[in-house]
Amino acid sequence: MNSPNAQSAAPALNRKQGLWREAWLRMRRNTSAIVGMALLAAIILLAVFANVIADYDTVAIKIDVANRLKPPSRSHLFGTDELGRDLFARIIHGARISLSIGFLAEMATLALGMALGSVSGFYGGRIDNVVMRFMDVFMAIPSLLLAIAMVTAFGTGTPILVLAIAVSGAPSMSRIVRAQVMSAREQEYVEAARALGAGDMTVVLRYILPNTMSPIIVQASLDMAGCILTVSSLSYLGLGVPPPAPEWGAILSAGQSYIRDAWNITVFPGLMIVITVIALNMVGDGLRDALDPKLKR
Amino acid sequence: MPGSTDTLLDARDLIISYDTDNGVARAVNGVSFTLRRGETLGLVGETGAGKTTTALAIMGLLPEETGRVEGGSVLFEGEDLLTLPREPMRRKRGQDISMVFQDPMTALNPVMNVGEQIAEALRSHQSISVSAANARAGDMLEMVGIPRGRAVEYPHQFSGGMKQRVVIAIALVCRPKLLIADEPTTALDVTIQAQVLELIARLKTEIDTSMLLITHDLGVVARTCQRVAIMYSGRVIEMGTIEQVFDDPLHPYTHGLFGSIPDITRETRRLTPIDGLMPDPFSLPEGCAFAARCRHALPGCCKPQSEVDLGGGHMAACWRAADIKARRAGGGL
Amino acid sequence: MRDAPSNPSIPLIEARGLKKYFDTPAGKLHAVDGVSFAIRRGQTLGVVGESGCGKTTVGRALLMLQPPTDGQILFKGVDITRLPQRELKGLRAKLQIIFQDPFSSLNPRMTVYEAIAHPLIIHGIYRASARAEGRVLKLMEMVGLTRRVVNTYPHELDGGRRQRVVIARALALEPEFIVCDEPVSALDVSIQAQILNLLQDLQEAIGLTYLFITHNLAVVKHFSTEIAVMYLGQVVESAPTAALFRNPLHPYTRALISAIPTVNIHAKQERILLRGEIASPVNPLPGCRFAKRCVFAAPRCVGRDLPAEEAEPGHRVACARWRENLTPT
Repeated sequence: MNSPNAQSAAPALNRKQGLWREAWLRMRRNTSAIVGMALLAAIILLAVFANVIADYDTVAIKIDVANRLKPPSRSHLFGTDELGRDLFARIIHGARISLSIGFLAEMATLALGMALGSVSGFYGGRIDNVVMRFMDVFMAIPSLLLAIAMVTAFGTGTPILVLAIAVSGAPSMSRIVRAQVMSAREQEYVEAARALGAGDMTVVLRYILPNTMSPIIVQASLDMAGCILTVSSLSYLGLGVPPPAPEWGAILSAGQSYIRDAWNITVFPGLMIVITVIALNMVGDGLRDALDPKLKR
Repeated sequence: MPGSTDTLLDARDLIISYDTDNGVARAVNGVSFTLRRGETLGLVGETGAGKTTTALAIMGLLPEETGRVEGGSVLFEGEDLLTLPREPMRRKRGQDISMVFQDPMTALNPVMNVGEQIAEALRSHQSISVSAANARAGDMLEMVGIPRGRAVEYPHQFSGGMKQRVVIAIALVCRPKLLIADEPTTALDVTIQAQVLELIARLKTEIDTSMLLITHDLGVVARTCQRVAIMYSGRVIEMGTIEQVFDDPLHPYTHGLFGSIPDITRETRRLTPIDGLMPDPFSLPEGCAFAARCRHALPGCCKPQSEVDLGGGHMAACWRAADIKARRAGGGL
Repeated sequence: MRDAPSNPSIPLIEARGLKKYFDTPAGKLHAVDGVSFAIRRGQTLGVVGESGCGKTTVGRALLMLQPPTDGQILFKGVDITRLPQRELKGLRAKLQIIFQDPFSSLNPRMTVYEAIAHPLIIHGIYRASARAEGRVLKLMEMVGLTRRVVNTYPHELDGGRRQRVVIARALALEPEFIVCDEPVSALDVSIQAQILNLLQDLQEAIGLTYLFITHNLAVVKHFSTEIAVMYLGQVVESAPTAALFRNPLHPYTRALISAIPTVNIHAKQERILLRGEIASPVNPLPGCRFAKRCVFAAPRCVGRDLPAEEAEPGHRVACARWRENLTPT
């Protein structure tokens, strides 16, 4: 409330990070967000040090038919797959692929969505109508189908994959951005900025976007889980990352023919997908509470 | 006077705090007042003075997770509302004590027509047939100046002033003994406010109820109330009849409040505001909460202040009140 | 510091036949419908009325924040409704606004320092925010803000301090004219008085001219040299403050005065209770817009528009029956 937030020392200008630091303090008190962040950090660490833990060429994609379909053991933590490759090595290398494609796809979604959404929301009227009707068309196509169509049309490969996911994710992101921008646009401080003589660019960059970031960040972190699922789904269908790259969905797909003999091939990648998605959702929910404390209580 | 038969509500040393992320906020710190039958008492204060918290405590509607009654009692017809179990308290609400909130826009259910809403308030307290309840709802609407034919309309079809009339109809349909009105006209335009205040005053006599009127507007109090209690930082710091308090405000805060208001009947070239801010409810001073802003403050003010009776039921929580009164009488102020 | 008043007979700012219409699903909303007034340098015109009377739109239109549908706005004799965008931006420095709600008129992501420095950056007076330090601290001192709050965010401040930040921001560009749109109605009583006094002090110190928009007649009486009473988009009565309160002529003005609750328990107040509620000026018919609620309404009040008549020098009223010395029965 009116606490005269003790700042007795001489003013040091540009204490820029104030609001973010407050959000972090709130986030730190949220157990599930911390658990989510810890899980995510563990997965990222595994991905980063994948090559140190198990070499890609000599372990992750090296076929060893003599050792195929081994259950988990001391030498093969998660067992081996149908070609005798070490499953643990494949999964931690798979984390690299899933996380990086997921992240890139989300960034691309964000860029597309923010550009379209802020133009649409800020200018409104006819521009808004055209952009939004276009987005409606995209939203009417199930996103997985859209991605499948794009991959079949343009071929597989990481850039196409990223683009396919971004195109299918952009409409909903742009709607969120648009709604945020529209409500921020009506705020009195925007009118105040205009009264001070600020132009469109200044208004958007200094007054509107900074005030729309928190819900967008939350949405992006939740969306990223969806991206990872989409990548896995596409790979499962054989449309994602081409073999022998150890993508989680691809491993899962290959393992399903052996599910009676070797449960580990399907369960471990499945588990990784689930853990990553849950971790991202926990972080996303935590961010929501931390960035918008009004929602809580 | 407390305990005498004409006392309807008797709040004593009420202490309420809220648990928040930033610590414990001491919202109400020993509020005491009495409300007599048939009387309208104005509870006046600025934001954060503890008016609404006091009202919610009387209604048993403090937020359960964060709000905590730390002490005191609220006797309603001799029965302590604070120790009443949940179910009997629920029955009292709406039946014996009801409340009108500030914002008529959000106080009504948007998907239920207004007639149903009034009838429902009645049926949750009395066993009465649907048709009889609807008939009473129609009567109530007419009583607040809305044609009964409009009972089938929905809240969005009413203007702000009309909505507040519906809210009042709901609050009064069970003929409660006590009506708590929390800033009932603050959201309304002045000419509409005048209509609603007139209506409340008329209904109060018609259905013979007592009223606790919470407001920040001393003008509204002058127009509607017989007695007034001024709150500051979670305490009643002055209480008395309208004449006592408005003609001779003795607590320096009350005095400062009057100096801050431009009045339509007076010529003022310059206002005399109270400097500074209300103390932080997270760290209240030991003694008088107003001392830091007070022109008359002396070292003695840092001790807890008790109420001083200045005669005729005029109380002020300031040990210098009698002194100030004497000096003013002698032309010293 | 500022250019000398070029010609004292020319008002600093003047509105002539100002109109602002909005398209709504229900029809054309005549938010402001032919409003004219002039304010001389150093004076305060109070615009008073209830919600929907168009007082806020008058303020926005005057600053070209919502360009008027029709009419002229003369600033020092120059019609600013016809200025190109670039010249208008330069003029923005001279015409400023203070909003009602200091909780929403400050960007929550800017510190006090940034908020006050930003207009100086926009207008290229300083290139970098850090260079404005001396000026910002000076402005903060002018509005009574301690240095201590320079790096705080709006949500860390109480309403009164926030409003001081808004005032400092408006003053940064050394304006000559400020629209004050309900600058104290969101504040507590004791804080209101502090802000009103500050605005008065600033007016005296730097010769500001105000348009003071409010619903509170008592505040406007205290603060303004002249008053215009608005109802549904039109000025129904305007006069120097003393004349308006000595001799209110329009029934709406009288009802408004009578509706203000006074703290003076010995004052005798005329009681005029209006019937009905405020309508909205969508596709209004010709004639007095107040007639529906007026206790003195007669057949000749409707059907044709009523021009404002001069009842005494400077006191204009738009009522068909103002001469009749009406008393409510």
